Amino acid sequence: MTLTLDARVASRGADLSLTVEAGETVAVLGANGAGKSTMLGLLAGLVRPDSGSGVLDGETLFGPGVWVPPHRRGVSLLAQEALLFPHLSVLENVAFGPRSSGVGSPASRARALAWLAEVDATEFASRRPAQLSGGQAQRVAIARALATEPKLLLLDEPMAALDVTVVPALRAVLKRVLAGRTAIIVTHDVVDAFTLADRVIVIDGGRVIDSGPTRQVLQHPRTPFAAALVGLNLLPDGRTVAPSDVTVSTSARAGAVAGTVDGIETRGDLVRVRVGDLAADLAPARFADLGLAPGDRVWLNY
Amino acid sequence: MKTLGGVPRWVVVIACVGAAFILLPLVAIISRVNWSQFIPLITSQESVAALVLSLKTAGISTLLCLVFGVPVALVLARTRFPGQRVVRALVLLPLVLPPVVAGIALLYTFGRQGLLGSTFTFLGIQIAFSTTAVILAETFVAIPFLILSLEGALRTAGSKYEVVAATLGASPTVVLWRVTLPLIAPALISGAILSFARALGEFGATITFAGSLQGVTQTLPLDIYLQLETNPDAAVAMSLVLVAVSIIVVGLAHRGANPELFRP
Amino acid sequence: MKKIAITAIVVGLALGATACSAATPASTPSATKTSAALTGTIQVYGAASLTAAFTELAIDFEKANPGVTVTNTFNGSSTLVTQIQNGAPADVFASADTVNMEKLSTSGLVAGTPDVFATNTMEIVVPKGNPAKITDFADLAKSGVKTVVCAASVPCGAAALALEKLTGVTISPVSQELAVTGVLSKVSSGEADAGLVYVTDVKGALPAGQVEGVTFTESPQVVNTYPIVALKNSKNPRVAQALVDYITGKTGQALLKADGFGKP
Repeated sequence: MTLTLDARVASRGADLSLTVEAGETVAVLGANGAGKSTMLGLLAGLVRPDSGSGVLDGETLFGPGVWVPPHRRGVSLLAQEALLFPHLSVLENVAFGPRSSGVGSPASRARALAWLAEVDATEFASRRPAQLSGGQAQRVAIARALATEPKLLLLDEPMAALDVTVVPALRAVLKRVLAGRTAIIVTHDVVDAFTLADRVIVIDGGRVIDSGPTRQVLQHPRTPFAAALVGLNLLPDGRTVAPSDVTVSTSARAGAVAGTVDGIETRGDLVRVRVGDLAADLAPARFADLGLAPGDRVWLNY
Repeated sequence: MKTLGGVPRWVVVIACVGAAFILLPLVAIISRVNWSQFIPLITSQESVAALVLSLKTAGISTLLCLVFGVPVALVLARTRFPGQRVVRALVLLPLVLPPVVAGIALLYTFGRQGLLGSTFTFLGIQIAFSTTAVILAETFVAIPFLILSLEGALRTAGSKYEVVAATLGASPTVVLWRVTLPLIAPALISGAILSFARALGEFGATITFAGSLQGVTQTLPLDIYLQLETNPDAAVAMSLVLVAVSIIVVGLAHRGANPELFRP
Repeated sequence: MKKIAITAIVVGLALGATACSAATPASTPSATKTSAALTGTIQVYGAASLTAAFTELAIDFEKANPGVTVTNTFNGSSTLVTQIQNGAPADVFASADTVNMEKLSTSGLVAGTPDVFATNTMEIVVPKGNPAKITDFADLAKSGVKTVVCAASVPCGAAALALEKLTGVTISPVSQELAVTGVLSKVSSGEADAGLVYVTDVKGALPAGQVEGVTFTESPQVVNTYPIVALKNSKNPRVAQALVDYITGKTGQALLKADGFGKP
């Protein structure tokens, strides 16, 4: 079940190419507006490319003169919101996919129950979506997406809208169901990338700018965005340095780089000072001693 | 005492006058009813024939409104094509058109000398002076109510559920029946009820296009108008019946519009 | 919906009546005292079939009496009676039948005795070219002929019914219209093959050349009489009576004759 994508969408400034091997889960990282949604839209059949093609498991999804509509692609999409059909029960929601593809009612229900069990949601089967919490609803949505037995599963920041307390449990569910499955997960959370993905690609400005095994891409970042994701500063020479290893002073020093304070934010028991592309973490006492404010001239050592 | 909820007192006063303006005529009708003769008046053969015809034609019109109005609303709300604004405006035209103008327009469309008249005559179908003409007139004036209410609901509901359904393998037809229509069911019901009410009250287009014949084209409003000339007591009694039916219909529409289903 | 409209009309008329009576310049006291010249405004309520004739008569009367303004209101006789009974500001009433005039007399709203000023008989009206080849009254009952008549409760319908009794011909109309104008419009648009209207309607049919009249032998045997009277509540009784005299007098009679009305 190999997936290859190579497409251009002029109106969104996107020129994307990507290959996903059978059974591989790929995490897509990138800033807002980088082109992640466009990529999912192209694969799900919600965005029409100006040129290019997409092939899933030997079958052309789109290409010159070919356009397979969303419902015949075998591509399921799990979004930020669960979007369970409000007029159907949880069980009917999960059985919706199999029913739509022509599976009989009893068989569909059996399949739905099996998938609800897989995501630990059997007890909600007879409930209405309005009676579920956000995390419960998203678990049902996962079961619903998988009950169609998709050739490719797309996940669009599936945990971004959830309460942080339920995220670990849902991540565990996803880890279980994504094992050995061809899937693409768009995420902002580096933990998702580490736990769920075999490989990571980084998108910026509508193009794939970095790609490789998760650990390689994230531990040795080659883009400022990837570096920021793992909390590292990417230096002009390609080295990385942790913000806690950067020292700040208000007077010029040998070997220091001059800059202007762009932002100050409190992070737990540290204060992060942003200077251009670089971040420095200071102890609160040190920060107070320096008396920094945005716009101040500073010198950084690392 | 109920609170005014921040509404200026003078607004409340004007509101009372406005409400009285609507309610007083209803009270006036009730005060004019000849109660001792009420039952015989509304069960007279002529009245019953008119009421039955009215309910029948309004019912069939409502079905036609659904059959043709739902697709129009879907196309207007979900697709994009050149001239869409113009089409939307024109489709809603019967809403503001004087009914008599609607009657004339229908006459010149489906009448013997009309645009489609010769086609129908060729097929052996005579529309003018038939119950079909009444149904056409009622459908013409009632269908914008359904389209308006559905298009609004479709836009509010958005297409996100439909997108999800498609990625779950549902064809557009399955999406329509199992997702779109159930989601807009409240608007569908209230729109249908409003259309029924409008069809029930149709007068101008009917008298212009369909004529008036007991049991065939003489609906309740036509009968009331005619009775007013000779038997005002019967006209008042039948008016009250129509008021009662309308109140029931409005009540149902309010229930149908209950937004409960929309809550995620 | 229509019942609300009807009520609204009644309310509107009541309001209008108050407004009008207040606004009417009426006869200024000085004018009535000083000279015999007639001044002021009067409202004439006339049967619909008098529209053409009375419009002309009013213009002539105003020419003869430069200080006078005549406003005409035309409608079904029974509708006008109801309106006058409910306080409509009419000064003169001309009915298309004696029944409605009697209703008004019984209510004690007339000044003096009504005078019959014209008669009218029925004629068959057919679309231009007479497509159904109607030549006499019996043709109206032939199968396949779409005949339109007035409802029995309006004077032109009563006359049609009388003709049916007289000739022994039973017409199965495709529509029983609420007014004679409805019959005319159904025929002139070509929807109906024939209709029964007043002789004067055929003559004065406004879409000139759209309809033709077909006379029949029994026609003179059913005669509608038109009585006219000045009304008791007139604000300008002198002018009102003068107009009645004018219409029953030589000039008025000549004009009515020219329009196709028969002698009283």
